[in-house]
Amino acid sequence: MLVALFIWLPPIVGMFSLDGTILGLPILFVYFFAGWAILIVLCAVLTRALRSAAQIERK
Amino acid sequence: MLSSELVILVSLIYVGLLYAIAWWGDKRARDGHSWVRNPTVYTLSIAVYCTSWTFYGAVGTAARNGLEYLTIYLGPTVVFLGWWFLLRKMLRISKAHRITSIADFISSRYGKSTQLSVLVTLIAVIGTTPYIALQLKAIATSYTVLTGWEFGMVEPVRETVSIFSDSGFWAAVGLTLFGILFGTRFIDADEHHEGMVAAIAFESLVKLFALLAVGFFVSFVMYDGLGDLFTQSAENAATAKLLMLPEGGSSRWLTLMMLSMAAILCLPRQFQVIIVENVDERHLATASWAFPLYLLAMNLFVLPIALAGLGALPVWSDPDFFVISVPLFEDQSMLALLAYVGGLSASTSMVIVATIALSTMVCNDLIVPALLRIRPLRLTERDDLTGLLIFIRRASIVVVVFMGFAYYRSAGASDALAEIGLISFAAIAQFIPIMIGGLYWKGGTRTGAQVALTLGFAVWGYTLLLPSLADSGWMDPSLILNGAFGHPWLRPESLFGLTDFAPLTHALIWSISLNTAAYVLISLFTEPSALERIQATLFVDAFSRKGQDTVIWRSSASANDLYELVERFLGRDRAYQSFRQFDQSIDPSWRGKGEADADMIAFTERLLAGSIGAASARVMVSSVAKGEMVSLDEVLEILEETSHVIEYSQRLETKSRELEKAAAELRAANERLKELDRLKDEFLTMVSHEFRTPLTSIRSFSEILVDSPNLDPKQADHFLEIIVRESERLTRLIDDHLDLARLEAGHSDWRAVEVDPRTVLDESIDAVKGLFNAKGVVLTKEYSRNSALLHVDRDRLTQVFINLLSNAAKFSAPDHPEVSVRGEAMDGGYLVSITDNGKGVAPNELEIIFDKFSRGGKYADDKPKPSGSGLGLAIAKHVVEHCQGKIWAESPAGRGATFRVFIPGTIMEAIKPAKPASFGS
Repeated sequence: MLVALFIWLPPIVGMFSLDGTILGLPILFVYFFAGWAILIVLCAVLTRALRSAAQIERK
Repeated sequence: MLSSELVILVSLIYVGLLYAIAWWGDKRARDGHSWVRNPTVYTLSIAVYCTSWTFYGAVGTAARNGLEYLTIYLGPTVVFLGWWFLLRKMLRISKAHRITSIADFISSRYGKSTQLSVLVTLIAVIGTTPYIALQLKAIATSYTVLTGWEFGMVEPVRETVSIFSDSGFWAAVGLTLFGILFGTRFIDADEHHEGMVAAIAFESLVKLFALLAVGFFVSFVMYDGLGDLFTQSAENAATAKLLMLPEGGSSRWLTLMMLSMAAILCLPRQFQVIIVENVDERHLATASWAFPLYLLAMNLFVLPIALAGLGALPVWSDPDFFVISVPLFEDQSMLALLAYVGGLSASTSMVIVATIALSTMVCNDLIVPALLRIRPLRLTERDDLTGLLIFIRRASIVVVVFMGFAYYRSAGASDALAEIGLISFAAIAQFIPIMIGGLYWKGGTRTGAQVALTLGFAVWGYTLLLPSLADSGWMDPSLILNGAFGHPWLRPESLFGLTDFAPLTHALIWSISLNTAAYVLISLFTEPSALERIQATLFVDAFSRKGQDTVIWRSSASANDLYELVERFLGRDRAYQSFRQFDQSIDPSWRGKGEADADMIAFTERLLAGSIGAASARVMVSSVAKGEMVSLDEVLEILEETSHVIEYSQRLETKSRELEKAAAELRAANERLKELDRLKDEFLTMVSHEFRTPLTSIRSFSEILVDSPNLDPKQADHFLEIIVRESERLTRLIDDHLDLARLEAGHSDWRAVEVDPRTVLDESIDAVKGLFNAKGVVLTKEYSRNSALLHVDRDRLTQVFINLLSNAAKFSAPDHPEVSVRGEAMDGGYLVSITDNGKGVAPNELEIIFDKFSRGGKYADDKPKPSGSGLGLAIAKHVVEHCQGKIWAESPAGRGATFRVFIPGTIMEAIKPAKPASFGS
């Protein structure tokens, strides 16, 4: 959550407002969506870990 | 080309489908086979966040401001990724307290305050009105675009069209009906609307599918993939800047992020789907990543569609409706129809959930508390209130939807979709300080929250709503331009001369900072009531405290009264079922007997809170239960006080014991003082007596000498001799006396030196040799081989030995006097024993003889003429004790007396044996 807040707020966002492309896509566009996807995966993994930890606790 | 009949038909079929799904969802839920209760449906229902603002407006924003549209979705993503900290806590609390709305949540936190829940409800209703207007506008406009594209129509012409031919009106009617049918079918204790959830989950799927379809079409049919699209856009200067951040837009970026984070938490409809409709905390865990994923998918093609629209469409087309107009432009009318259905889904889902959430709030937190206060209605005595509750809810749905419709017809229609939505967000964001504060800070008080909310909302109205109304010509724009009373400092869009920010940022800076400051400061200076303290603890420590039964009713209510109360609000069947959950032994004919216990009262309150809100439930239960409430805190406080009292009394006991002891000591001291007083008297008597004896003889002999001048000179000499001797005795007596006084007071000089006691003994024997010889005493002397080194005052020790020796000589047998002296080193010291062969000391006097003047009855039968001062032994005892030694007498019957002196010292090994010596006289 904090990471997300950090990378999506100025001035960090401004650093990626660059010319040029990655795989034919604008850098800023890729920055947002790739970062978004990575965070979602991280969160899914973390949530799973938390849940199994909670289950172990319950047992 | 799409005929309006076809579009209306599709709309009706779609809405019919929604009804069917909702009806089926409700039916399944009632049968107990709910398929709604799973994480996927839960996640999709949260996607009600994506309204037509997202579906149409995001593309419009992207076409105007580039990637800025993302902020509205990144904020919720951040909140959901951090669900563990905030959402989970809100969920846990809401479940424990059967919270039914955001107003309920906030008022519960601040002591179930009715005023606060009214305030929150009002703000929520007013704040949501522009938002509902936005949806109606989107439906109406999309319909116009779809049917009137060929004629270049981009907006419905409201001014000339009657209300009944405005598609927005029919949309409002349809949505109202849906809300009434599926939002208020019955009053339940837990406010779950399975049918509604099913319908909006389905709608979320439809809108996602529609947007993705348009996105694919744009990216892969119109253009040769995304790369091609972006390359072409980059060549055009107007579209190229959309791929960058807007210049100097970082404060707006920050504002939008914060607003969207606040919105996902505080929007009444989001609270409804995330918190109220949640059935399992684990669903939230899934949604924490699935909902951001949904948002990602929703936003992926927004920018491409915007770029394509800007690149291909005529300039007059509204970017807000590119999603429809781009397919139309490409002659894909079916795709456009699909897009229209998607937009319809987005709008309807929002309006449905928002109206249901708001109607619950209006009913529970606004109307019911008000009605309860109007005594002539005697609401608390009415039999069945379920009908009334349902009616209130339905009426509020109608009111809420048509307030939005009124706004749409008059004011907000001129703005872009996103700007209308942001006004709503800013109003709702006013809840954030008191909500976050309420969750993590126990110090927040009701007064603080009320003032903060009022202030924040007032500033919002002045800086955002007023300008928006003025824009639409409802008000004199001079107020906006010149400020209230013509003062530039009061200009709504640059309050107090703050001109550097855009209106939205400016409004938020003022409203949120004043709001927060008021909340914190007033909370710090006001004292929360007992109930506020309890609720604050329950909210802040939601995870550490188990159960919600910490609130104890110290009151009496009959079980029957409580049962009837619930029956009135929930209906007979539901009341029975609920109470049966509480107590398995209850049967349908059960009519509560006797007094209800505290658990039952608390249970009733929670049960009612689920259907009429916490504040009203409290009022109702207290109308039945007489008495007040004690909290755990108060109980603890009482306990604490008791323990203080116990501690105090223990301290008192200790004190009194100490006093008793002191008193006993004082009594003992007093006894001793009395004894000493007696001794002093005795002593004085004795001293006077002792002094008197020599004085009497001196006086009588002196008188004889004076009275008889011709006395025989030989006789006279004898008399003078007596006078001299008695004077000497008197002097000695006084000397001894002074000496003893000095010893007793510890004033005498001690010149301690290392001495060998044998030397001292020998000297003492030499000193009394004259006396011994005069009396013809036989002296035997015997020293052990070893000696000791004593650390004493030599003269004093000599005095002691002389005294003991002369006593021994005085009291030895008159016919053949014998005295023996024995000295031996033993036990870390030196023991001297002086024995005579006189009559000895009576056993009861062995101790007394060391007292002053106690020659006593040692020789009661033949008392010799006293020649000593009677202080010798007393002085000896003092001296010996001063040297940490010991003096005592032994007297076996008829075998004389032995006086022993023991003085500690260092034992010395003898170099040669000491010879026993004897003196004869």
